[in-house]
Amino acid sequence: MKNYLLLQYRMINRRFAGSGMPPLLGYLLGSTFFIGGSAFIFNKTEYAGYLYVLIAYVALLQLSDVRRNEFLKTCFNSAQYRSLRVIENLIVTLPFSLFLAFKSLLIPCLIVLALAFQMAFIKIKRIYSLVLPTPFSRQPYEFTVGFRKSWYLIALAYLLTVISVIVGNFNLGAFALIFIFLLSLSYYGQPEHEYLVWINSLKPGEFLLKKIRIACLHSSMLSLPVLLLLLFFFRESWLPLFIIQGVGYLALSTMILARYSAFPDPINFPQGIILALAIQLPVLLVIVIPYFYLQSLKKLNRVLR
Amino acid sequence: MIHIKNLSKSFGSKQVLKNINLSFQKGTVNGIVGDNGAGKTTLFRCIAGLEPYEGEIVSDLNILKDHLGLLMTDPYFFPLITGREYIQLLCNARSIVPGNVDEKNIFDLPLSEYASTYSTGMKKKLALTAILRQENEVFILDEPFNGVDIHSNMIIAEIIYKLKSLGKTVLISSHIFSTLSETCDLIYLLQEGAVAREVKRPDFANLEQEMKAITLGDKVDRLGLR
Repeated sequence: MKNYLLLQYRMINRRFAGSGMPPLLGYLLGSTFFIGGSAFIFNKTEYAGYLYVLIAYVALLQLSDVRRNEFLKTCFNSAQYRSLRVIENLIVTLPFSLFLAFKSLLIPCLIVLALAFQMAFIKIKRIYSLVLPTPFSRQPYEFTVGFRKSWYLIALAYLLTVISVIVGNFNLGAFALIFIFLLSLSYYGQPEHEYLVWINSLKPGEFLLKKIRIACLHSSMLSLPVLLLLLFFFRESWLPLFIIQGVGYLALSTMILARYSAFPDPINFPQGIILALAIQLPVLLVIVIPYFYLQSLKKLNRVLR
Repeated sequence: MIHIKNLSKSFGSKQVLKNINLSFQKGTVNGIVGDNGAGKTTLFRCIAGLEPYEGEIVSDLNILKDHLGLLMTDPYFFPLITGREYIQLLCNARSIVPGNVDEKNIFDLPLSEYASTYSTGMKKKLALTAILRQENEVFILDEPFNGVDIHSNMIIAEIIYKLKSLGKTVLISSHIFSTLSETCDLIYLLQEGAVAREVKRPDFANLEQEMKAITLGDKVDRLGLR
């Protein structure tokens, strides 16, 4: 079991190293982002504690993959398997439970700990075999896959929008709109398999434009219900809403270009930093978009020439 | 028609393909055989344009890759894409309207289910179905019979005959020699990255015997099984 946990540690280090970042720096930056992000979220909404329960649950779901756990069962005896699952669940949820305890939010903290234990003992049914219909199937695949993976987070964003209207909290509604775009960005986080790029009879520039066009169309399908509801109930705040929507499209386009600028590898550390800076300071997009575009053309030229 | 002239490919210091010269005519089925690591898949990837290489690959098609159906040994599937969506994805990529996907589902695949839940053979059949819908002129089938049941093997063999009769160029690799000898017009033996022999249909049986002798040798005896 110790070897298994050490192996997981080495795998995380290799992921950092593979993205061009020294592991130590990775842990440091990860911790900084987590603490900074947590402080920001807890400052913005009083429901942050329960949002953390949800995020911790999503993280636990990743470790509950049936095939992964069936493999572990073939490697370890029953007692070892249970201990291992509890330990890894506790490790993954540790940052959340610690921060919740630090904020004296004992009930959410206990829920997270209970989930960590419970998820080690239950077998998640093959919910993946249940095909969830999506409105994106005509143009597979990023939004189709993303929607099926994160439908409950989209539902949460819509719920937050409704709550924002009921309680008259514009910031909460704006957060829901930003959240939809952040989810859309996450759909493009993984590199595309080279075969799925290769099959396209398009020139690199045409391919990139097609990807951006589909991403903007599909993100509009997700974000427009939120935008329209907020515009109706917070008419005086139309400008910030349009700015969020516009920056969302730009960020999505930049994400796609960043993805192919690293193709076929994942986005590396320097590219990730440039992308994060550009999304936080949209004025930088004027430089970053052409830069990533030219890099993407070079990378795609190999398989689309 | 595809002409391969002086094709070489190296990964670092390891040369995987050595000065390959081959021609594949329209309306022919060409088999590529060789041990694991002989360079078959690398050769296919070079033809498909997935690998940079030294030498030249020319064809009478404007852009070869846009008319090429590539069936990979281990086709790639997303975790949450249905069989029907996979076919749609491949057709969209070539700007082809997929039409009624169910009508042409000759392998009776459960197209409404996630492709990632399919068995190895079903994945292969789905990938083959998708590239057949793309209306390609050239087909590269890397191990098309692997993991596929006997009935589907027969259907795949019939599909290959049909492609040949339609004037398509087909390249196949397989470790199952009998399937190649049934379907191919020519078989190329690849050894250590070079074309060792080009064998025509009348000599297939001899090639199979030779390959068997070379491959087996006294290897099983050396195991000392009791």
